[in-house]
Parts: sequence; C-alpha cells; structure tokens
Amino acid sequence: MTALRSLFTPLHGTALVMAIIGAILFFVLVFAGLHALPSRAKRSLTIAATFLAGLFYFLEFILPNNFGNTKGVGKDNFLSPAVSPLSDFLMVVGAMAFGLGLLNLIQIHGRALIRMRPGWHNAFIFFVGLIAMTAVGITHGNHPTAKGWTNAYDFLFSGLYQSLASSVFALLAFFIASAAFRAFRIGSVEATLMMVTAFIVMLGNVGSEVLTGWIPPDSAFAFLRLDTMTYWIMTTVNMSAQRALLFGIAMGELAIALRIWLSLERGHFFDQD
Amino acid sequence: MEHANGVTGLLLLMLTGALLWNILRARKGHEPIIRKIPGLAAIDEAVGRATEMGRPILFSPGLFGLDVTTLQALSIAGHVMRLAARYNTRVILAVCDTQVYPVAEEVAREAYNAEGRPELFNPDDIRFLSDRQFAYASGCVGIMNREKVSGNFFFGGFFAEALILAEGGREVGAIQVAGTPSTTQLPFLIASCDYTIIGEEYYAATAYLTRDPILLGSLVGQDYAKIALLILILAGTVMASLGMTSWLHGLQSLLGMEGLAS
Repeated sequence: MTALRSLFTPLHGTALVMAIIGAILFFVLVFAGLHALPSRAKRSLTIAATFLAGLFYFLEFILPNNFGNTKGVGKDNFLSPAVSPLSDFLMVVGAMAFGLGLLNLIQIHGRALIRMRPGWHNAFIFFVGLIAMTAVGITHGNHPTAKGWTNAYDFLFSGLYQSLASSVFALLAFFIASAAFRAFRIGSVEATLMMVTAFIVMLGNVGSEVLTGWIPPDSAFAFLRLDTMTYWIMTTVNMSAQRALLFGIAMGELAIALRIWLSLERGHFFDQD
Repeated sequence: MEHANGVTGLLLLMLTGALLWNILRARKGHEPIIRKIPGLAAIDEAVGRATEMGRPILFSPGLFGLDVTTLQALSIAGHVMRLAARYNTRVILAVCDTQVYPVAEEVAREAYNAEGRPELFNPDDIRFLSDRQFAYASGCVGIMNREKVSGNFFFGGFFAEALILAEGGREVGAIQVAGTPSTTQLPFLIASCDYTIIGEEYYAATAYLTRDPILLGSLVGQDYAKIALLILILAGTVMASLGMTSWLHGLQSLLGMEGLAS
C-alpha cells in the first residue's frame, strides 16, 4: 500500500522529468502489448479487470469498519486506504482522455477550415478562441500578479465565456414558458389536473399572503390557504411520486451495475469481439 | 469512508440475490414477457422518418461522465446506429465528456461493422463539443439547425440544458425521443419531446431492445426486489403506526443500528 501511495506523491525537478519519460515509455509498451493481443484475449482481460475493480469497491463498501484494519480504531477497513490512490489513477486516465477530445475538435474544425466548408468561419473562431484562451490562461497561471494578463484572462473568461453561458441559460425562461403552454393546452384530464396543480403551486409561492393570508393558519379552514395547499402538494403528492421513481431508478442502477460487473450486459460495447 | 451497516448490507445482498436468481432462471430457459415501452418502440419510427426525409439524426448521451447512466445511453446509441446503418442514415453523436468520447467512437464503429457497413462510419460524426454545460447545449442546437436533423435522441443524465436541447429540437421540427433517470428534468422532457422514457424504463432499454433472456431475467429480478422493498415499507409503516416500536428497536440492535429511530 505504501508503494502504491508513493506513486501519487508529487515529484519535482529531474525526478519529475524522469518520471514522465518513464510513464510514457511504460504505457507505450503496455498499449503495444495490449494491441498485439488477439480479440478473445482482450475481451477476457477486460472482463477480468472489470470484475476485479467491481469486487474491490463492493468489498470496500460492504466490509464493516475496522475489518482487517490493524492500525486501530477508525471508520476504515483494510481496503479503504487504496480508495484514494485508485481515485487519483482514474483522474490521471481522465486527464489523458482530455487530449482526445481536443484532438477531435482540432480535426473536425481543421478540416472545415482547410476545405472552406460551409460554416468555416465558425471553425476559424474556434481556433482563435482555443489559441487565445490557452495562451492567456497559461501565462496568467504562471504570472498571476501581472495586471495585463489578469485583465486579458478576465476579459476572455468572465467577459466573454461567462456572459455567453449566462445568455444561453437565460433562454430557459422563454423555453419553460413555451413548453408549459404546450403541456397545458393538450385538453385531456391529465393536462387539466396538471394545470390546476401548477396554478396552485405558482400562486402558493408568489401570491399566497395577498390572496389567502387572511385565513387564520390555526383555523378549521387553514387547508384552504394557498401556502398550505402548496406545501401538501409538494411534500405529499410530488415527493411520493418522486420517491417511487427513485426506487425504480435505484433498482435499475443496481441491476445494470451487477450486469456490467459480471459481464452479463449485452449491447454494442459489451458483447462484440 | 462510508461503509454499509447491517441493514444496508442485508438489503444489498437480498436485492442482488433476487436479481441473480432470476438471471439464472432465465439462463435455464425461462423467458419472461415484458410490456411494450412506447418510447423505445418509437426509436424505429424516428430512424424511419429520418431515412424518408434524407436527413441526419442527433444523439446526445447526456452530460454525465463515464458511468452506468452514460454506458446505458451508449448502448441505446449503438442500437440506433445499427438501425440507421441498415437504412444508410447518418447519426451524429455529440459528446460532452472526453472520457466518454473514445467509448462512443468505439460503439459507433462496432455498430456499423455489425451491420456490414463499415464504410458508412464517419469519425467526424462522433463529436466532442465541450465539457461546459451551456457551450455543449449551444453546440447541439447549432448542429440541429445547420444539419437540419429530423430526429433527436436524448438519452442519459441531463441538467438545466435538457429543455434548451428539447426546445431547440422542436423548433427545427425533429421527432424527439428522450430517456433520463434525472427526475428533475423529466417534466421538461415530457413537455417538449414526442416520447419520453421515465424512471426504471431507462435501465430496461438494453433488455427491451436486445430481448436477451438473461437481461429480461434481471428485469424480473428487479420487480421481485421492488416487491420485497414494498413489503418492508408497508411492514415498517404498520409497525410504527401501531406503536410496535419495541420490535423495531430489537431489530435495530440485532443489526447494529441502535439509536436510528430517535
């Protein structure tokens, strides 16, 4: 376990460079070896790796506190110390995948730009944005106190990106209105029920005090208060339906997790050689 | 780290047992019948419409990372691509997670190979758009408008961008099929899409589409497990309502959960 942890200890200087070169060489050899394997062996290897990884997390969760833990009282069992290094490993793999995403973007937009396909100007803007944000982001990270780079970073990130993202988010207000209008105008019993319920919940949230605030909350007619009705709809009707859905979803997730763990899942990524 | 207590461990083993028992039964030849799921049956209709119109299909596997939800979405994407390959229809798979991207590409390649049409596989149709929520949504809506898609499939985990995607698709007149376990986004998808798969139907998709007896068996196992949970909930409600708390306390101490009732 100590050896595993030492793999994730930060290195500096020459040791860091050597570690990077060593890791690259190691993984080139590993991938070359995997590539040379026949399909059947690759499949068996995937099944074995999936099963062992699933078994580790299953046992780590199911084994009680202090099980096999010789270091004293705590909330860990003997497998728990390996969880953090494994999570780091997954993050490293994830970081490698980021390069693939970037490569895909460069390929698609690069081809569009070189061949001047329709919409090539979008590809051009993509490259301008990519190069500008990369250059400014790295320089700003290396010189966080330089005012010019900080301003440039703020302009690109807060001024451009965040404003654009907020604008897209703001579209939701109009989309909610149009979707709600369509859902309520269907004219069936279900749509009418939904409209009445939505009307009560909306009024209960914004106009309860004005419309029904005069009904004393401790009187026999308190159930007619809009805030009381809203509370009942949200906590009794809505919550019970949501929990029923969540029970089904949890069971579905358990079933599919079990099928993937035991390599029983069928589909285009699970049963093809 | 959080570990299972007695009740969680017992429940987990019980539910897993129910699933495995039914999978084993199905392996021995007992093939269960499952009801029709309109949303999944509509996949054929959407692909057929795209073929008739000669326009592409957009498939979004959601915003979640490489987890169970996304793997299920990719499995459905594979089915859609096989159907599309049969009719020479283009499918654009828009991904928002870099870890999902290579898996999605492999799923697409396998789907076209499985249909004997490897020449139809175009790597440019498997696109990583952005790992930012609204940049991804903008990218998808851009593809819908530029490519004039005739069908949209939204399968996977979604957040606030779900409605932007669904309304964007509606505006271009695409037939839309959605499925998500994200309960907060379900009302929006139901209001905006032609067909929506809700709750556990989402995880029944591979069983429904492949009709594999083992997967159908696990669906029956899920139903048994839900019946068991329902009985436990009813028993707990009745015992608590009748004041039989000493039984509950006894059960808790037996399972090492003292103090939970308070």
